[in-house]
Amino acid sequence: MNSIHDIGGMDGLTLPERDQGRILNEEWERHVVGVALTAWSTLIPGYAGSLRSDIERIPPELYLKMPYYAKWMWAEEVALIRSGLVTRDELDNPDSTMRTSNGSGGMPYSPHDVVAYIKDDDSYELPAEVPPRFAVGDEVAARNDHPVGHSRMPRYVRGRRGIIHNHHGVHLFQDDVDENVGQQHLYTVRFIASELWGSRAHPNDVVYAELSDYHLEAAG
Amino acid sequence: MADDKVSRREFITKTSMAASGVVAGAAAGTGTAGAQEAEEYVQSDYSVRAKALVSVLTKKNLINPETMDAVVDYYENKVGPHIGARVVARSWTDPDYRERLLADARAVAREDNLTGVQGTDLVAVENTPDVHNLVVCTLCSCYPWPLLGLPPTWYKDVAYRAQSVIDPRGVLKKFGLDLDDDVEVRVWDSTAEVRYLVIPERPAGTDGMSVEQLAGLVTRDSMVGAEKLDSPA
Repeated sequence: MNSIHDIGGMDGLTLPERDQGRILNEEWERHVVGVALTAWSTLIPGYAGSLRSDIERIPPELYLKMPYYAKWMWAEEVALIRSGLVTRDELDNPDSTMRTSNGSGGMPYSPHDVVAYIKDDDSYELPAEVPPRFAVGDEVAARNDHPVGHSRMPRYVRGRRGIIHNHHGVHLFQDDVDENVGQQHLYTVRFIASELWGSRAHPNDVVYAELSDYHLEAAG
Repeated sequence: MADDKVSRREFITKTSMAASGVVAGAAAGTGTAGAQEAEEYVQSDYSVRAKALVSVLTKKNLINPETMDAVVDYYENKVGPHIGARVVARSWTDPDYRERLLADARAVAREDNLTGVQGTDLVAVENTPDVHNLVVCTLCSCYPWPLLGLPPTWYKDVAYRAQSVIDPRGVLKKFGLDLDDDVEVRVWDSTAEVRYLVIPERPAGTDGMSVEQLAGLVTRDSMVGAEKLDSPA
């Protein structure tokens, strides 16, 4: 969806200093990261896929007000309630008696097992059952399409022409589309900066983005 | 429990359909989440909320608090830029390793047991006197966790995500790096599950240093392309 998360190319925001301290600064951030990675692994079917789309549906004016891990916590609450594992009332009244979970979450990992899980091979590549539509060097154009659901094609490349720079094989396709699009090969596409940003671009700049067969049309 | 564990790939594959179903159902509504609920959320105390969340999940035996602590300890204390720094230092001293890393970083990560959540599909790109690489995730915060740990705040900041693709030289200048006009700037927007590691240039004055000594010179931000490395004092 065309919301604030798809922010590449926007002017007017103030760049921060590069922070060099700890990566988690507050105790609540530790809780949020801990819940994300334990729940991610065992609790909620589809959670890994829904985290981002839940964050993207935060109203834009509030997205900009939320600290980073507050967005994660928002998505955790939304996913846990949607899955039936917890209720809003329980989260609002954590000292009350909990009713039995009616969710189908798996058993939580032991502390030892969870580290093995974190280090597991996380590749999103799948065995290819269809040939790729494009080859390295092909001229392509990103589709000018504006889906209402989750998309991995940023607005700033839509309708723009680029060159296939790299082919990664078939990867799990995570866009929210109604049709069954089948297996999707993933590519790195190279865009000349002026194709994206016109006269404002520096002549020696290029931008690369990962895009799938579904996002691309032949050009040239 | 370990026996019941599905592999990460199986888990992702099996659950992706469920996820898209859920998301499609939700997206069919108004698009964004309830504005009032979100407004109340922003006004709330995140510490209180996080405690409530952990408390409810623990009471219902949906998470093990010790497991949660182990996850946090892992990302705070075990994994971090020191891992990526060693990869970079080795690439400076071992031309064969460097060649394999640039050709297929994922294979090298698998060989060296550097795989993990958010980072197995790895690509390495090298900075040279003529080419400077900068990594960003404009849509969220994708970052090579197994090599660099969780991302720093600046990397996740909306201003960095917004400006690095349209004005990478301006961003780098504000970060203290003024590139010559004839240097090619390559910005890598991690829009899918590929994760990038920048191999910074080896600083001058480091001949004869060991891999361990060299790794000590490699900063986290240099491996994202946000800075160049200084020669040792």
